[in-house]
Amino acid sequence: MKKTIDINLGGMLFHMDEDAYAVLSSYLEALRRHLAATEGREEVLSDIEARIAELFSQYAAGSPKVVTVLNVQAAMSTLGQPQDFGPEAEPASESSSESSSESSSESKDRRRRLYRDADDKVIGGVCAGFANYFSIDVVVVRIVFLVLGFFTGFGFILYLILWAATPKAVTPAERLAMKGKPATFENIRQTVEEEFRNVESKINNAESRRKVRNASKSVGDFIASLVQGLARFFGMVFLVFALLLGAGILIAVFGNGILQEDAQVSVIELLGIFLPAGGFGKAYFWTATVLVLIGPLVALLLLALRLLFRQQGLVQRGLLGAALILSVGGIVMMALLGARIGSEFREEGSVVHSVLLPEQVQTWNLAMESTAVMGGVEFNFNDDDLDESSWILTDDRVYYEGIEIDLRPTVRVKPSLEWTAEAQGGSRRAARERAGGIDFQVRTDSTGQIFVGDLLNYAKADRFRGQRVQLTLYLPVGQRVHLDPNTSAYLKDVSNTSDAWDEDMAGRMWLMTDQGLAEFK
Amino acid sequence: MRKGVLELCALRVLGRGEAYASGISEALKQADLLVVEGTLYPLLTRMKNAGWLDYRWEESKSGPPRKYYQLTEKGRILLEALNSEWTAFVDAVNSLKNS
Repeated sequence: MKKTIDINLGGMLFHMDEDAYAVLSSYLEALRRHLAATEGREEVLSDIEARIAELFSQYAAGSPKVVTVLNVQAAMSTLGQPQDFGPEAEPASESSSESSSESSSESKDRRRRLYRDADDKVIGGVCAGFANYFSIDVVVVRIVFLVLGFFTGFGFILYLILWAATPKAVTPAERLAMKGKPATFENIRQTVEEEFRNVESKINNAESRRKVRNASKSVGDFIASLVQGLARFFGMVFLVFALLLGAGILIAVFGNGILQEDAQVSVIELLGIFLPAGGFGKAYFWTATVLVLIGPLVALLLLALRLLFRQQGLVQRGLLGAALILSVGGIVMMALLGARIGSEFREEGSVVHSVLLPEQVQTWNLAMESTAVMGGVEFNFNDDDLDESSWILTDDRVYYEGIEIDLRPTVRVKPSLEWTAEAQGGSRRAARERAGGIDFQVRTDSTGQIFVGDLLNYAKADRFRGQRVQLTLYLPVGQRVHLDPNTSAYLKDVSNTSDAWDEDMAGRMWLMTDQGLAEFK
Repeated sequence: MRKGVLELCALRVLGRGEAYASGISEALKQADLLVVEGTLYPLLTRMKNAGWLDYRWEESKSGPPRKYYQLTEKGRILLEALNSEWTAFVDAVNSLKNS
């Protein structure tokens, strides 16, 4: 025989054995103590009591319901011992151990990621993202970008690229990573909480990007940090390269180009004289150049971002793909331009000019006469003979020393002098017209002096298309000619009986024979 | 971590529709995720107080009225956030296993 006690549990009446009652009440008391630090303890306890009542009413199906010790123990094993109510009971101790292990084992920056911060944005949140990453005031970052933008223009471009390349922190986990907080459930909860408090905006979770979280660090710390250090170093190098490349593009597009020999004329201008007239002009060339460079630039920037901030993702891959497509487009444009320029060198044309020579002269003197050029800038190039050739550009004309002098015997009685202007063109007619546009001066006097201009010139509008002048002096056998030393660079394969080099012929007196010139002593 | 996972699991169960405490614990037990029911009660109460869950009373034939919990709008957002975080985490761990 056992004494029963009536109890009210969860609003229900139960008859309990005395010992069953003792077990239950000590269990509930233990729970009450265990949950002391838990918020809403009373509610939890009443929920538990209700559940126990439910279990009891299942066990003791009959009426009146009598609850035994066995029933209580069954309910207890379903619900669990107080310690099974888990870490829930000790929230304080758990969170403190968590945070201390973090600060000791991992530096804050390790888990930090570069994201755009849409919560604190003016344009795209790039600056705020950087501020988060480096833990500096966003105002400082904005000022740096503004200064870069206004003084070099590069800040704007950089901003746009970073805008495209940096993912926006969308999910709470990304927002935490952006600020260097670990993405624990507790923190995520807080972030979502804040979000609710701040804005009533809905988050676009559909587009939530997957981020492969860096797995928790294991033992090989030293190697890891070494590798990371190297990665950062290369990241910096790539970033610098990318910046230089970007700056180069900007200078090319907006600047005055690279100055040659302190001259005030840019390479762009020189190039403009080389590029075809019409649709394939400078604008086309620069567009192609910039397009070609965009691929490497974006690739370098992304590589730098990846090494420096461990960023990677679909957005970047898409951006890189787009940039590479643009680069291929630029290469195609360049190829078309090259083909077009090549076509303008396809045909050759020439115009022959005769110069009147004075009568009664037996001994000639051939000398170069410097051409007067008003203003202009000089450029020097190495041509294929390894000789330096000079070009002078004035506002509308090109001066060039492309003159070749030859001396040949003639069977006629009188000497003659003629110069042939030559040029290339897309058609024979175009080439001939261009050759006709070449201006060149030869002057003679009655004493037998022949002064040859040292520069030919033509209109810039004609472009560089192989314009040159061949000057030939035909002498009857027996006449003499003195070659002035200054003709040395202009003589071209002049045939002579002693097989002297052209350079050795200048500065001497020669006699014309039917075999060519012979030195006259 | 365990606590967080349990929390996510409870939220997922509730994501399928409203449920009462024993129902949730039943689902978790079937998935071998929960050993004893008791763990769940403080959790549910705390999540309710945080505004992730809401509940209504429903009469029961076999005992006292039951609390039927359901996700609030806020709770749904949390669930989605935790879900994607969990997927990323599992992917990360699995990627280690496979390589």
